[in-house]
Amino acid sequence: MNEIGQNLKRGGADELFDPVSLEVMWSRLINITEECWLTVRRTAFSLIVGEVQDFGCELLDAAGNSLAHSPRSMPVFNLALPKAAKALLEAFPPETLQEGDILITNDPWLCAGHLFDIALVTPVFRRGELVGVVGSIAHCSDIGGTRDSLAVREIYEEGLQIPPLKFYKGGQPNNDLMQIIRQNVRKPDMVMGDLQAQYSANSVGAQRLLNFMNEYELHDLTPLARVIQRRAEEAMRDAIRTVPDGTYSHSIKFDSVGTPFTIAVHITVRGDELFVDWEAPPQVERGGINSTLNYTSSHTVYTLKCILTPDIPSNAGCYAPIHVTAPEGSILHCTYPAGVNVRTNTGWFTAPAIFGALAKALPDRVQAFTGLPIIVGAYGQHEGETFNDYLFQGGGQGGSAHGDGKNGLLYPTSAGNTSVEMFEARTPLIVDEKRYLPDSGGAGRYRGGLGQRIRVRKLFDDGEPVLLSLISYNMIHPIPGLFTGQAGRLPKIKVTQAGRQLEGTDIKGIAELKHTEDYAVVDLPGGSGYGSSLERSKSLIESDLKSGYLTEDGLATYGYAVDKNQGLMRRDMHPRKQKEETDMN
Amino acid sequence: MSITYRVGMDIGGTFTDYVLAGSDGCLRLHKRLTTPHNPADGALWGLNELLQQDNLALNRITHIVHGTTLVANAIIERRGAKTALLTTRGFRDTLEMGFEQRYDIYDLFLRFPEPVVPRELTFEVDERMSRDGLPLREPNLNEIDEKVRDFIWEGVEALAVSFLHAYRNPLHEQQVAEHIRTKFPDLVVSVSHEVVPEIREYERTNTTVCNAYVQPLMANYLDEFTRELEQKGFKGNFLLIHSSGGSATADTARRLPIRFLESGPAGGALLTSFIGKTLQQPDLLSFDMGGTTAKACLIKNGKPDTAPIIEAARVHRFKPGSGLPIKTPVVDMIEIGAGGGSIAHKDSLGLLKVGPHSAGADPGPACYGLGGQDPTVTDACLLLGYFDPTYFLGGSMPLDVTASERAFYNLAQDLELGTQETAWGVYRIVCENMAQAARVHIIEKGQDPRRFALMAFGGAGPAHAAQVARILGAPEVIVPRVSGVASALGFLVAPISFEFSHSYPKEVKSLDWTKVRILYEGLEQHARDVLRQAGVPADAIQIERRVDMRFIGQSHELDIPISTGELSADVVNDLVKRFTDAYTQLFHAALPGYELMVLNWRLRATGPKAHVALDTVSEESGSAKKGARLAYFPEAGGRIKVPVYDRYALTSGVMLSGPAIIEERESTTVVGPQDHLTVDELGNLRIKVVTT
Repeated sequence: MNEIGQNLKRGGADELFDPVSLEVMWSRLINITEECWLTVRRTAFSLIVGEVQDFGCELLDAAGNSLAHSPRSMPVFNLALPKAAKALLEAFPPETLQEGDILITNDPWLCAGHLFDIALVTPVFRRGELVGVVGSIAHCSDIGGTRDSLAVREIYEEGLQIPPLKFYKGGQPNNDLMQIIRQNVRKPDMVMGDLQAQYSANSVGAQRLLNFMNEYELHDLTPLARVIQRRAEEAMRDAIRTVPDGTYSHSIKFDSVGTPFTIAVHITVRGDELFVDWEAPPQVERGGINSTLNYTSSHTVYTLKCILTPDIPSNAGCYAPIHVTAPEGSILHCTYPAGVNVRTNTGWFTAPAIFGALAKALPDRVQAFTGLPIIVGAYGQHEGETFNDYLFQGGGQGGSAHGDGKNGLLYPTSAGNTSVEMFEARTPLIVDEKRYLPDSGGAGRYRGGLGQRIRVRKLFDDGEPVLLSLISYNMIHPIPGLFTGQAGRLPKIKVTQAGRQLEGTDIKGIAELKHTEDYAVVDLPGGSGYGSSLERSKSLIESDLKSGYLTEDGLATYGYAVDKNQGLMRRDMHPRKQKEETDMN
Repeated sequence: MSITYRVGMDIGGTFTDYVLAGSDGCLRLHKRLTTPHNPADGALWGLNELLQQDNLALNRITHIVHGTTLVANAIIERRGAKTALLTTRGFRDTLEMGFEQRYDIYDLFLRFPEPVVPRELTFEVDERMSRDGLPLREPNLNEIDEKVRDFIWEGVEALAVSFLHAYRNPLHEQQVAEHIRTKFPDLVVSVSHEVVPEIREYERTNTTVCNAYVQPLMANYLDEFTRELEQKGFKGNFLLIHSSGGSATADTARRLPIRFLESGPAGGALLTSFIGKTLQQPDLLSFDMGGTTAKACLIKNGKPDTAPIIEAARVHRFKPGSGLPIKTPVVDMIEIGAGGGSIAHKDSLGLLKVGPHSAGADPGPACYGLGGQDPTVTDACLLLGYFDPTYFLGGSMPLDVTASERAFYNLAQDLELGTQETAWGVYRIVCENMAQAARVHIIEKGQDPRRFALMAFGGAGPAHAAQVARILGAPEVIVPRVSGVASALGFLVAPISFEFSHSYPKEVKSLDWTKVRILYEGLEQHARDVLRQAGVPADAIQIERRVDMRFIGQSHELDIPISTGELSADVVNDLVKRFTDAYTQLFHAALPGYELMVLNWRLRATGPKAHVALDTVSEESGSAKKGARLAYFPEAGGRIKVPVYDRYALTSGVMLSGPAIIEERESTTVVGPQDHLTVDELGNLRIKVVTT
C-alpha cells in the first residue's frame, strides 16, 4: 500500500509517482475538499450560504498554493483563497503558529474583493510542522455598514473590516473578536452560525488530510504538491501553445446606474505564457463599484481556465503561466480605502472582454455575453423578528458555437437560485411572477438565452417598511454578441412606492416598500447571440415560436415573418416586408 | 398443509432474475434476458420457465413481488405520456428554470435536461395561496376547462397540477383536480399535494409532472401483467417494490408510480439487512458491482437509510446537478461509474483513469470478443488471473485473453508500465474510486467506515470487495449465497409498507400540537388504507413517525424519529435532545442557544416482516479445490500460484488462507494473500480482511 511512502523515503524525486499512485492520491485530495463542501452546505444558517451555495472550500500546500478545490465552489473564491492564505501566513509566520490556531480575514485587497466574503484558514500541523492549509471563503449574510451600497464613498461605510487575525487560538475561540463581529452585524446568530459551518468544514478537512498523510506515510506534502501542480501547469502551457502568438485586444463599454465606463483587455500570448493587461478608468470616489486587483485577477484567470483547460482539475499550476496586470488606482485595481462592495459591477465585465479578445483565435471555445444576475435582497422587521434574505436569479446565457444559451442561468457565480416558496416562508414578501421574458435573448445563429422577470411586493399591510436592495448592471449599454450576434435585452427595474413610479437609473440600488400596493419589477437581461441572426436555421426559429421564446415581434431580426397563408417565411420572399428589412439594416 | 410459494422477480436492463421460495424452505433461482420492448412478456415467459422446473401451477403461488426499471427508463428515454401542467399564474417556467445553477464551474457549454412538460403545454391558472395557506385569489374553473380541452385536442393524456404553497393548503389544487376529474374522466391527473406535499416549488412540481408522465405507462403495464397472470390462474397478491424498500399493491403503483422510480436497486440493500439480521450483524455496507456501475448502501441497525430526494435522467450520469430532482423517499444509495465494463484510459495529465465510461454489454469488455477494443476492468481481472477464461458465467461465455492483452498493450506502452502492472493499476484505481465514494457516503451519515463489514454481490462485487474493504479499513467481507440474484431475493424479505409526509414548517417552541395530531391522524389513515388494500390486517400494521428538523435558518434537515405515543408539548424536550445528539455526532458541534424548527412530518406504515429460509445449503459432492492458476498479487511478490475453489463444494466450516480464488457461476471471489476465509453455517463466504 505504501509504495509512495517508501519511494519518498528513498529518494523523494517526483518521477517516483507512477500514473496509478498519482491518480489515487490526487483524487483523494479532491475528495477531501468535497467533504468540506458538504459540511458547510449542511450546517450553514443563511439562505445565501446553505441554499444558494455562495462559498468554496480548498486545500493548499504549506506555502499557501492551491492543491485542490471542491468541485462545486464559487470560482472566484478558488483563486482568492490562496492569496488570502498567503497574506495570513505572512501576518502570522508558521513558526509563530500553534496547533488549533485558525486565521480569519475579509480584507478585500487580500481576499475576495468585498467585506462580505470571509476567509477562514486552518493551518494543519503534523508532528509540529506546518504541512498544509485547509481554507474556505463564504459570503456571509451581513457584515454591517450601510444597506445603500451605491452611495458609499469609502470602505468604512461598508461594514466591519476584519484584518488578518486569529479566529481561534490554540483551539480556543477568540471571544473578543467574536463579540466585535456579533455587535456589528444584522442577525448575528445567522452570521456566527455560518462561520461555525466554515470552522467545522475546515476541521473535517484538516483531520482528513492528516489521515491521508498517515496512510501514505507522507511526512511532507511538498513533493506530491509539486508533481500535481506541475502536471496541471504543463496542461495549461500546452493549451496556451495552441493559441497563436500575438496580442489580442477587445474593449467593453458598460454602465453602473447610468454612469458609463470602458475597459479594455490586451492579451499577449508568447509561447506558453499568457499576459493579460487591463486598461481601465480611474477608481470611482462614490458608488462602491471598485474592484481590487485580487478580484480582477481571479475573474480573469477563471475565465481563461474555462476557455483553455476546462477538464483539468484546478490547482496553483494552472494559474502559474497567466500574468494579470491592471493600472493601480483604476476601477480594476483600486486602492485603499475605496468602496468595493458592489465590485461585481465592474469585475463581472472582464469575462466578455476576454471572450471578445480571443473569439477570432478560438471561435469555438468562447461564449457571447451572458446577462448578469440581479440579486434582490430583502431586509426589515416582521412581528418583532428581523429578516434578511436574498432572492437569486440569473440572466440569459450567451450563445456559442455549441448552441443557444440557456434561458436564465447564474453566471459567473456558481450559485443556484432561491426557491420562491422558501423565500416567501422567510420574508413577509410575495413573489407575483418569475417568468422568462420572450424576445429578450440576443439574436444570432445561436441566440442568447432569455432573461426573466421577477415581481415582488409586500404581503402584509402592516406599515413596516421593507428595504429591497436592487443592484442592477448595465442599464444603458448593450453588450454585443460575437461574430455579429446581437445584444440581449438590457435589464430594467421599476419600483412603485407610495404611488410614485421610479424606473431604471432613478433607482440607486435600493428601494423601500411600505404598502401592499408597492412593488418592484426586475427584468433580468437576456444573453447575447453568436453568429449572424440571418443564418439561424428555420427549424430553430419555428421551435422558438412554438415554445413562446420568440414572438412574431421578434422575428424581423432573423429575416423571417409569419404570413397568414404560408406560415413562417423569409421576409425577402415577402414583397411587403422588403422595405422594412432594408430600413432595419 | 400443502407447500405454498412466493416469487421475487427483478426486471433489470439486461437480465430478469427470479427467485422461487417455498414455505418448506426450498429456493430456486432463474435468470433470463429481459425483453426491453415489452418487459411484461419476457417476464411472464421466464416465470413460466421457472415454474416448469418444478411442475408448479400459478395457483400455488401466493405472492409475486416484482421490481422494475420501467419508471426510471421511461424518464431517461422520454417514453412517457404527453403531459401538460397547470401552475400558478406567474410561474410558467418553474420546470425549465430548475436551479439556474451551473453544475460544472469550468464548462461553458453545459447541457441541461429537457423539462418533462414543454413550455407550450404549461398553463398558468390565476390563483394564489399565501405562505401561511390563506387563499389570495380563487382559481377560475371555466378558464381551465377551455385550456384543458385544447390540451386534449393536442393529444395530452396526462395532466399535472402544481400550485404554490399547496403543501400548506391544498384547497385550490383540490378544487381544480376534482373539477377536471369530473369533466375529463379519461385524463390522468397528478396533483402536487397528493404526490409530494413538501415545500420548494421546483422539486415538487417536477416530481408531480414526472408522476403524471409515467402514470399511463405504468397503468398499461400493470393491466397487461395482472390480466395475463389472472388468466393463467394466479390468485395471489401481486406486489411491487417501491424506492424506499418496501412493497405495495399495483393500485398504489398506478396512483403514485414515481414512488417506484428506484424499484429494483433497493433489493440488494434489503437482502443485506436481512442477512445481516440472521448473522446478528446489524451494521453493514451493501456493495453491488455490476457491468456499468457500483452501488453502495449503508445498513444501520438492520435497516437501510432512506433519503427524501433523488436525481433522475442526468445529462452526465455521474455529475450531480445535471438531472431532474425527484422528491420521493428512496433507499439512500450511492452509484458510481465503476463496473466490469468501465474503460481505462490515460488522461491529458498522464494519469491512469478508470470509467465512468463503460463498454456496457455491447460490445462489452475486449475479452467478450464482441468487438470491444478498449481495456476494461473485466479485462484487467482476466489478465491478473482472477477470472478463468473458461468458466465465465459458469463456462457459458468463453473469454478471449489475447483480446484483453491487445486492449492493454497500448495503454501499458503509454503509461510506460508493464501489462501486468497496468492491469493491477486499473484494478487498484477502480477499487479506490469505489472506496472513496463509499467513504463519503458513510461519513455523510456521521459513521466510521472502519466499523462496517461489506456485503458483496453483483457480477463483479465479490472480485473487488476485499480490496475495497482494505482501502476503507473495513474488517470483513461477506459474500452471500445466491449473490447472483440478490435483488430478487431481497424483494421476498421486503415487508409491505408505505410512507406519507406533510409540510408544516414551524419553530419547535411554538408548534401547534393539536394541528400536529390532526396532521398525523390524516397521514396514518392514508397509510393504513394503502396497507389494508394490500391485505395487511389492521393489528399487524406498525407505525413509525419521523420529522425533518434543523436549526432555524439552516437549509438542510436531519431526519429524527419522534415518539409514537401521544403527541403534545411534552415530547419537545425529547425531540430537542434527539436532534442535538444526532447533530453533535454528525458535525462535532453543538450550538447552544440556537432555536430549532420542524419542516416535514413523515409517517411510515409497515406490515409484518417477510421471511425466506436461507439455511438449507444444497451440497454438491466432490473436492472443493478445482486446481490452481497464476494470479497477480503484488503484496505476495507478483504473479504466484493460487488455489482455485468451487463455491458449490465449499461446505460450512471450511477455512482457507489467502491468496485464493472461489468460483461460482455468476461471480468470482478474490481473497487476498493475507486474508482468511471461512464458510459459515449459512454458506456465506466470510473474509477477514487484513488492512495494512
